[in-house]
Amino acid sequence: MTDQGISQTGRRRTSLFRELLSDTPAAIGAALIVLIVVLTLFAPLIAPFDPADQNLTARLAPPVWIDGGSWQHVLGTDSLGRDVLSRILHGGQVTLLIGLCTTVIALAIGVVIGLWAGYCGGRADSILMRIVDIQVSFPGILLILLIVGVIGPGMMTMIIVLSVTNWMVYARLVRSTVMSLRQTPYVEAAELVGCRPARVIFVHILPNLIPPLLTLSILEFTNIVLAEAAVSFLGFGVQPPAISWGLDVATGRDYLFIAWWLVAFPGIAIALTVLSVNLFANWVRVTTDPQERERRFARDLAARQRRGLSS
Amino acid sequence: MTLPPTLSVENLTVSYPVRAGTFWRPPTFLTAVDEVTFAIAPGETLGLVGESGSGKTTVGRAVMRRVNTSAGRIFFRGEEITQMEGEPLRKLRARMQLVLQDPYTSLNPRMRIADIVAEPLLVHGRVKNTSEARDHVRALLDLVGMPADAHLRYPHSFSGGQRQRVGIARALALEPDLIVADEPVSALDVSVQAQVVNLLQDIQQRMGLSYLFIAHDLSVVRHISHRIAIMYAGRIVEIAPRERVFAAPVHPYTKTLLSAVPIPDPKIQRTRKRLIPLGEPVDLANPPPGCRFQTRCAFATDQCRVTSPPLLERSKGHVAACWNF
Repeated sequence: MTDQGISQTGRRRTSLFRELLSDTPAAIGAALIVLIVVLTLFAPLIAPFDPADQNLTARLAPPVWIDGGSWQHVLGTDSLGRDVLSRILHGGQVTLLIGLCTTVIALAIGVVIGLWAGYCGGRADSILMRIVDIQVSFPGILLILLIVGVIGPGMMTMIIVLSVTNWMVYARLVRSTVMSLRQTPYVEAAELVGCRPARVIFVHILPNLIPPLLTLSILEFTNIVLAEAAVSFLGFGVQPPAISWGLDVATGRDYLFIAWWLVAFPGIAIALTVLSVNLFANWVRVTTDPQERERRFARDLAARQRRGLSS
Repeated sequence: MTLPPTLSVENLTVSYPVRAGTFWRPPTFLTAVDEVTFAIAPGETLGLVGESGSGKTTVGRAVMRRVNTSAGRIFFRGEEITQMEGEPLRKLRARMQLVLQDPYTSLNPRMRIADIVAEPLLVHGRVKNTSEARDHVRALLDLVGMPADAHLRYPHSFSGGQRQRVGIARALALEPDLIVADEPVSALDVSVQAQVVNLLQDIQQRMGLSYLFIAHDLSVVRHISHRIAIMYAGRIVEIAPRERVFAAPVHPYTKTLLSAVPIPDPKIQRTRKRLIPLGEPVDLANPPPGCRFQTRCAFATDQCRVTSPPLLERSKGHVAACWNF
C-alpha cells in the first residue's frame, strides 16, 4: 500500500470504482443508497405536496394502480388526506439522520469501551463490563422515557437516547474479539517486535474488527429505525408535524385492514434502505480483507474468461 | 577479555496462578519453570528440548520478558533485564527477537510482506515509512530466499515454509544479538524443515548471532545446536555439547528420550531396546519433594524421593542432575 507513490492514488481510486461496478449486487446497492440519499435530501424540490398538507376530501385514497386511485396521489393518501409519496420523501430525512448518527455514536462509544476493556483486561475489564451488564439489564424504554422526560422530545434527544441504549452490544462484541485477537501469534509478534500499544491496537487489532462490526452495525441500524418508530408511536420521539418512516408505519397500523399502503410504502422504504446498505457493506467487507478480495478477483477473471470462450 | 554471554539465566523460576485466591483459600500456583540456569555465548546455538508441558516455551517467553519471572535473574549481554519495563524494554526488543511456531498465524493477514518485514524498522524509528525501507526489506527477503516479487503480496499467497522465512526476515530486520526460535519448524513438512534449519544456520554464520532453539524433535536440534539442554517438568536435567548428549547421555530421562528416536537402519533399529518410562508424569501443581523424574524412573532410590539432585559437572561442559549416574 505504502509502496506506491502518491501519484498512483488517483488511479487506485478509479480502479476501486471499477471493482465496485464489476460486483453487480454491490453496484446496485451503492446506486440505491445514492438514489435514496439524493431523493430524501432534495425532497422539498421533488415531493408533489407538502407532507403536512391535509386534504380531507381525498382521505385514504388508494395508490394509482388500484380502483379509485389517481395520478394526483401516486402512492395514495392517509387518514387525513396527506400524500404518502411526499411523506416518504420527507420522512427519509429524519429516519436516515437518526439511524446514521445513532449507529455512528453508539459504534464509537462501544468500540472505545470494548477496546479498553479487552486490551487492558483485569480490573478495567471487570468494571466496564459490569457497567455494560447494568445498562443491558435496565429496560431501555424506561431509560428513554426518563431522558426524554428530563430534556424533552426532539430529534437530538432521540439520537442521544438511542445511542445511550444501544452501545453495549458493540462493546461486548469488540471486547470478546479483542481478547481473542490478543492471543493470536501475530499480535504477540507485533508486541515482541516492539510496537507501542497504540500501533498494536490500530494496525493489528482494529482492522480485524471491521467485518463483524459492519455486519452488526447494519443489523443495529434496522433496530434503531424500528426503535425510533416505537418511541415516536408512544409520542416521545419525533413530534408531528415532523415525520419519519417509523412514525408513519406506526400510525398507519390502525388502518392496516382498510389502507395497507400506509404501512407498506414506508415499510418498503426501510427495507430497501437496509437491503442496499447490506449489499454495499458486504462488498466493503470483502474489499477490506486481502484474501477474500483476491479470491473475488480470481472468480471474476475466471467468469470473464469463460464468457470469452463461449462467445 | 572475554565477551559476556549473550544471554545468561540464573535460577529462573516462573509460576502461574492456576486458581485465583479468595478470602478463605490462598491462590494455587503451578511452577512451570523451576530454577533453570544456563548461558548462551555469542554466536552459539543452545537447543532446548523437552516434552510438551516441560516448560521450554515458558523459558523462551520469560527470556523475551513476555511472562514475568517469579524468581531468578536474566542477563542480556551482561546487563540485568529481569525487571526491565516500559521504554527500555521496548528498546531491548530490538536486540532480541522471537520466531514463532505457527507460520500460518504469526503474520498479520491484512499486511503486505513488505509492511510485515519493515514493521520492526518502523517501530524502532530506523525508517520513517515502508517505502524508505524498501531496499532493506528486499535485501532481507533475498537473504531468507524469498522470491523478488514477494514484498507486495499478502501472507496467504505463500506456503508454510515461505511464511516462516518471512517470520525469520522480520526477526532479522533489526540485526538482533539473540533470536529465540520457539519450535520454528515443528509446523512444517520434513523437507521444508531442513531448508529452514539450514537457513537459520547460514544466517548465524553470516551475522554471528545466538539462538535459543526450542524444539521437541531431537534430530532437528542435533543438526543445529552447539549445546543441548534437556528439560523435564520445569527443570533442566542435563546440558551437554551436542555430541556428548548423543554419545554419553547421563540422565535416565535423556536416555529414555534418545531411545525414542528411530535410527534409519532396520538392522540396528531391531536390536535396540526401547526404554519405556514407567508410571505417571509428575503433577506440576503439586510436585513431590526430590527429583521430578522419580515417578517414572526405573532407578529411583529413597534419596531421589527426598532431595532434588543438583546439576553437577560430569565432564567438560557436561552437567546432569541425577543421584545415581
